[in-house]
Amino acid sequence: MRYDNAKLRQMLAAEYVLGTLRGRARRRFERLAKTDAAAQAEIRFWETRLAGLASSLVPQTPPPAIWQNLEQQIDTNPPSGVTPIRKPVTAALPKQAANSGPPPAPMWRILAGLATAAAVVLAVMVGGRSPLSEKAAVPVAAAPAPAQVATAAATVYVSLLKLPESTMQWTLSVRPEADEVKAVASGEYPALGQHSLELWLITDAGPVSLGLLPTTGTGTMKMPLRVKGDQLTLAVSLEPVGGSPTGQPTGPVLTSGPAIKAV
Amino acid sequence: MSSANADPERLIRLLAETGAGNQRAFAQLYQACSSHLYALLLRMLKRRDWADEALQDCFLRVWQKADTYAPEKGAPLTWLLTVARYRALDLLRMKRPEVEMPEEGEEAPMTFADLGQSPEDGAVEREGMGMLRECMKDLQDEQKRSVLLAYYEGYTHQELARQMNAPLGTVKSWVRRGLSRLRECLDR
Repeated sequence: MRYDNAKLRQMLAAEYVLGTLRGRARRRFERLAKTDAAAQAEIRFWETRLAGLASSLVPQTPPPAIWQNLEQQIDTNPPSGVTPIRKPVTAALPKQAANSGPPPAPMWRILAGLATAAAVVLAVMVGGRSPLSEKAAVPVAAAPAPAQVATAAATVYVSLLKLPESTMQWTLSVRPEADEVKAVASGEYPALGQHSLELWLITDAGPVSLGLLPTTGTGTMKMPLRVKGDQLTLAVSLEPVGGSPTGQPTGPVLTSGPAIKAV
Repeated sequence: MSSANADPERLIRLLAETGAGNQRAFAQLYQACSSHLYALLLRMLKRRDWADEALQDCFLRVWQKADTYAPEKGAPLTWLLTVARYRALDLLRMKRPEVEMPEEGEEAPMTFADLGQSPEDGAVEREGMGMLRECMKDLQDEQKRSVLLAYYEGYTHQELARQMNAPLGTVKSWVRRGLSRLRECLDR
């Protein structure tokens, strides 16, 4: 597609922001916009103007649980612009009313978090396979070999996926260069009957299976395709034992969320 | 939420401090803006559980990426709403297939037939849209409806065609002509 036509670029930017530009065309335009100032300006034009539609809505107060979850997450995920070993910007303040937000906590470094995850990996390596792993049609997350733990790939996307109405959650790290996805399960797995939990990477072309999630301990899965960008989208679906027989999700999506580029 | 809380200068400062890792600034930013983002997410996603999940994702992303915000990218609330809307679009793309295959015992899902209130009702009537609202008036009905449905429902061209009971090519041209007219009007 030719992008040198200003009108065409305007239209692509408008449809990109509106969301009707999809699939390959969307990705192509996204790539162009990374280096093309005119395309960036067009995108910004539409983002700014169309946001008027959103700001016209009557504000709705979200439930307090969302902030409580965020508090937990930000404790272990520092902003991308924060360099390691820095002090909090403000001094600690006493905790105020329930909704007034958290006091500053010590800055955790993402590498510290990863090191902890590695320690967990080593600790659970003897833990064996997931109880859901029998008869798997889909690759099951396997306990990693020690050598893998030491491998530090250049890029890592991290995600925390929680199973609603339970304490079950997975800390996931995706290392594209190492073709590896690591899942650390924690919390209590609710009884969901005879099922497997399948992890999916959501791409413009649709969901791509990454494998079956462990319900205890740690497992690694193969990363089946190359990814880039600042963020990936992961989802977990409830599938028959052994995983989806079709290669596509067949059961309900139990949880989903972004995996954010951390390194 | 008072308008003082959403004062752009205050939000720019809170975003800057959030980008530097200040959790208290992040909490204040959340207090000031979350109700606006939540309104948009509820409007687009229809289900509270999805909107809850999307709001949490958005603010986690804001926490991670606040340092990439620059005032020249637009007003802070605009930037935050844009983050939320892209996230909602991602979620819809992922979750809509599920919508048509409800599991027993699940909350009644949205279907294309029971959207209820037309998305353009209300929103267009409300204040605060200024020039955009004026320019929307210039659009033909189908153009306006297709742009607003795409904006508020995150519909694809195919979904628009289905919702508006019109051929795909016709719907594409409504969207393009609508946007093109909007562009000309907003440029004036």
